[in-house]
Amino acid sequence: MLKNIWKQLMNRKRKNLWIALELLLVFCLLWYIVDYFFLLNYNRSIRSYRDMKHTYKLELAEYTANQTEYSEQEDTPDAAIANLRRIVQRLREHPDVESVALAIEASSFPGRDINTGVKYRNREDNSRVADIQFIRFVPEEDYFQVFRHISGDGKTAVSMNNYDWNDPENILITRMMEKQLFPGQSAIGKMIEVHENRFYPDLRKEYKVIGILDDIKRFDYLRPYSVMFIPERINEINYHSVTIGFRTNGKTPASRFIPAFKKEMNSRLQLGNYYLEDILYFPKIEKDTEYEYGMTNEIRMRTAMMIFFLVNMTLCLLGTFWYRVNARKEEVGIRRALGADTVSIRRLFIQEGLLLLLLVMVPAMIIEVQFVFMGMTNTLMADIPSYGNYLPDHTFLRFLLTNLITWLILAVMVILAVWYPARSASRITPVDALRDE
Amino acid sequence: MIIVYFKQAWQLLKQNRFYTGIYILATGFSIALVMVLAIVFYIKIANIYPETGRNRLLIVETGKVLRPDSTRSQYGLSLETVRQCLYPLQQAEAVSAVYRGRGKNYIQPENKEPQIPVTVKYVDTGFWKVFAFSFIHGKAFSEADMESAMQTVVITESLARRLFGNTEVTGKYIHLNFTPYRICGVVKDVSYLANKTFAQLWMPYTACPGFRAALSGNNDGQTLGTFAGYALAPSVKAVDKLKEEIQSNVSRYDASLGELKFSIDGPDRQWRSVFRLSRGQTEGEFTQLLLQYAFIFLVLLLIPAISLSGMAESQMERRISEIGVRRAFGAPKGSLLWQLIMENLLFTILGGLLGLGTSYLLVYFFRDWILHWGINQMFYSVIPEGVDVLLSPGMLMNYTVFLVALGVCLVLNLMTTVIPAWHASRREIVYSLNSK
Repeated sequence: MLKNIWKQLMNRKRKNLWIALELLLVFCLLWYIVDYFFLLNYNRSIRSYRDMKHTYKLELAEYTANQTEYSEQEDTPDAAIANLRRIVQRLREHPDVESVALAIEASSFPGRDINTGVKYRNREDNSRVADIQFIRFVPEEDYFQVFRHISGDGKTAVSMNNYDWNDPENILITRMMEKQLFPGQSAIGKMIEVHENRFYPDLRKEYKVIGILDDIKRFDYLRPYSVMFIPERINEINYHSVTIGFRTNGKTPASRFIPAFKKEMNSRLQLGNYYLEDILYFPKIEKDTEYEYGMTNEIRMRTAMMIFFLVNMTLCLLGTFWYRVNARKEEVGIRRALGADTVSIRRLFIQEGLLLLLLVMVPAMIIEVQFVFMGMTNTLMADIPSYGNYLPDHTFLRFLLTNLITWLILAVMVILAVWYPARSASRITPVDALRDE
Repeated sequence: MIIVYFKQAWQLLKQNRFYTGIYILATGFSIALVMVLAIVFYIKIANIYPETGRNRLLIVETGKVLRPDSTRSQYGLSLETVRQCLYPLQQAEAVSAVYRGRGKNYIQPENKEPQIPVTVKYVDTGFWKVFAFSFIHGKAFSEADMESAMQTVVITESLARRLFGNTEVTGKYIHLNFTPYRICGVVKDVSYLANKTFAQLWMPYTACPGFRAALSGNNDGQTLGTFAGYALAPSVKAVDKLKEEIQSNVSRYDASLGELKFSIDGPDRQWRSVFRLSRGQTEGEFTQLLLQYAFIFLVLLLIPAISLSGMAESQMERRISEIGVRRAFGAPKGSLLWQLIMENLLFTILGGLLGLGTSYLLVYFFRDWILHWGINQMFYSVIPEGVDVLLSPGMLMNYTVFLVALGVCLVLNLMTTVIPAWHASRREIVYSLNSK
């Protein structure tokens, strides 16, 4: 059977060459996109042990000296801090608000994390160094409860109250950081010290690990990263950068909650020189950041290209096979006259298309290997040394898998494209087909 | 003769509806994508309101310093740099500097309603000469307003309607960030796509609260800061001269700085500023980037060209006997080739029309993000709340876009037909006649 189809293909070498060339190009380009989406979806499927649903960021602003609402006596650190605490109190009194989180700088909240460039190392073993992000939370309100942080492999909900925050050296770290700095052992009770820190003079030289949180991701499309959670009390220096987040009970969706909250709280949250500027939904912040980093466009661009290649190829196959079926009317007629049923005629054409695709796969893979060697597939943190066992790091396996996925997508398209012409071929009656002879 | 070819092609089309349908669809589809990119670049590069002088505009948005200790920085220009190098330009029709202050801006409506976020640009008086805004009411702020840091603003038509219900609002006051500003003029809305001018509210940069702080915060001999400069040449021909003048001003300024080495990125023509990456790039990188885009365009045409060639090749086969007869009666190969190419052109042009229409729909419906395509920037700004990306009919339907579409059709047609037609016209006559 296979030999038969092979002969058929070889008999129409030149016309098949066009299809083969098209398939080859589309195969390589599609594989490149499939590989990207494979990585992206793999990363997205890694669980991030925090939950941003129903969490909001409160954007406060302060009146400045040239504004009429400005009050000079409210502009002292003591008055401002007292006002901040009263705002938190009023926020908690809101019937929809479940819990409040306080942190220093907006980058301590999800969705806006910045690359800090800070490195810490294991104090006992200096060779263990990790690039880390840090989150500075204020241990007055339960930051961990707002974002539903979890420890112990997704089992235990974390609360601020589980830990002792009297010693400012005490910190929590994520499992990824533990793996990086203390491989094969527990980090609890161990000390870490600074390795490189150029921009954050107020971080301490040493910290003591008192708890491990499950891994979180900076962005959904990236892998988990190393984070430490540093407690920081509000003081005269940092009170300007205190940022407020909160979680609602989720009864009202964000689109309705935000305008209602603004209307209701606008005057209630005007205290001293503070006033309510805006409230933002954390998942929206994350989405906007993805957009700003060009991720959203990248994905849309690649999706559009993928559709473009696939439609082009399908139309090419559809057009060519339509002609081929017409040109081979007599052959089909003879086959029918000899007793072939409609199903087997249809199958014949589809098998021809699939065999062609299979043949193309070999040169396509040779071309793709060049892509791999040129380093064009090192995207989305796959090139950063990681401390987890991630499937995309096994280059060979990933290569086979993505090729298989590409082949399957193309096979579906081939079947779709060949099906209609093949159907009309199988309906040819021997009498019609052979009339001319 | 061509008309006869077209008539023949029309007959073919009618005989073979399914096949031609597929062929035209495939052509249209591929032209649609190329045209979307063409329109995106057209809107980025062509003269669109209020940036109607883009073809004679020179843009300097960033500069570089190399310090004696061989560390370097790249950032916007300082006001001092603008004063030294751009404001004194002799050959320019107008010069403008825009202060790129960051931060959010909110308007507080009269009736205690929640605040309205607005996009603000901090500009000078030259701004209104470099860019051709059309004023509906009032006029731009004056040089005197500028110097005395008057709190006066120009707003868009839609903002005026939203706040006051009409556009005749010159002389009224609005509250921006709890500070009152007097409205001096109302202009027609600007599309978000005119990125150098887009805002809902413009004020003198001297009136911006952060302006003085930004001036004192400069170091590096006051060369770098948060300004961008624009200079408009009186005519397209005069652009090169203006460029030279800017360069010579910059070298003179650089010489006055002692050991510090200062240079600017550019000055760029509009098309070039589109390809400039935010980190700045060298001449070689520019060429590389352009080659990269040329390559992408080629691939985008190559994929459909191959698939259409395959289809055309099959179609030629059906006409082999006809070609055989014509060859037997002495038709030269060249004229047969010409005929086949012209016939196919009809299909390609029909596909082109379909494609152009589709691309308009795509651009219109996806205008919020599709227009960010093409350039790999480090950052993409999220469209501010309540801003609609305006597309005027002129941005889509104009001679440039039509010509590009026609050009793409011709190129695609040649790429598609030449090889199959060549094969068909060179077959042995005996073979052709015998084929059926």
